[in-house]
Amino acid sequence: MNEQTLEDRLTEEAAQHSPAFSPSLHNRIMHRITNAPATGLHARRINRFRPLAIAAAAALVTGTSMLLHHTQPRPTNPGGTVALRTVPSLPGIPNPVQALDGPIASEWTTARYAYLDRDGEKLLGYVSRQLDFMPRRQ
Amino acid sequence: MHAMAEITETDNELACRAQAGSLDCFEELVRRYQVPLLRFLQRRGPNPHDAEDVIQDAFLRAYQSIGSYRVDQPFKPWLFTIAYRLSIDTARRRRPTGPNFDEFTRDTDDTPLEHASRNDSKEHLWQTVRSVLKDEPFTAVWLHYGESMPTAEIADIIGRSQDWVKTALLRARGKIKNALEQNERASHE
Repeated sequence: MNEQTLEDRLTEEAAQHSPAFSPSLHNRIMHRITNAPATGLHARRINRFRPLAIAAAAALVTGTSMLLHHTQPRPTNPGGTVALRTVPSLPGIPNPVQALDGPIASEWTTARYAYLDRDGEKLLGYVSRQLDFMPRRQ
Repeated sequence: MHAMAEITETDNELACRAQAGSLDCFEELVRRYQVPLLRFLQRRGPNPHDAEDVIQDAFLRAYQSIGSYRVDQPFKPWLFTIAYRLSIDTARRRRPTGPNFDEFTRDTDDTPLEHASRNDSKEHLWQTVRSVLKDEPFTAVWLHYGESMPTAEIADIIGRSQDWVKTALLRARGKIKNALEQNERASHE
């Protein structure tokens, strides 16, 4: 069998063995189409913009909450007294409040790297004197 | 009168009007392509009932996505692409329980030919073709000879290059010829 004969047979026999048009199948197809939920072009457009809508809604909620947070007056205590809480001083542990007050004078002068603090202080004073807009350090 | 006017329209014109919302135009497309699509699906799968299920799904999917159809492209390959992909999905879902699926996907030189030889008197040419070719080459051969589609459209449907389709057709013809010659020898013996 040559190539052309085979091709002719394939074409002819494909046309011979063909199902007939089925009205019942046609009706079933159309019934499914007409009763399918709306997922056509309109729905596709909705689906396409859904992420955008979600992002916009999230941005709106975030922006609104931030705006409310910044515009609300901070809670005050008019006429009330502020009670200072005492920091308990444990034996053997230096009081953290005192430690935050600043270096002790003896450490300012005798510590190993105290010159760095002093030089830094001098440099800051020098820079602040050159710049008029900076407040002069006492 | 209106219906008669619609029948003379081309596929693309009908699809264009279906995009605009005309169900009548889409129904005319269903009428035109029921037989070719059913024939294609019946040839591909082992179960004719699957083909009827798939064709319903295919037309439904086509109707739902008619908005994505480009009217400058031919309608037939677009519709066949939908049906082809749905038939693959259906075959995958039914593979574990499908009774004869392996028979139609094997590409050996023995069993399908023996099968074809045994039933030579009962089967016609396309059943032999189906038994010796894998899924994709068979689809290419069917679309080329059964639906007279050019290789470019077949390549779009299968998702392969045109060169692949041309090669597949060439190799398929060789396999079919061998199978038919083997059938002839078996019938003489």
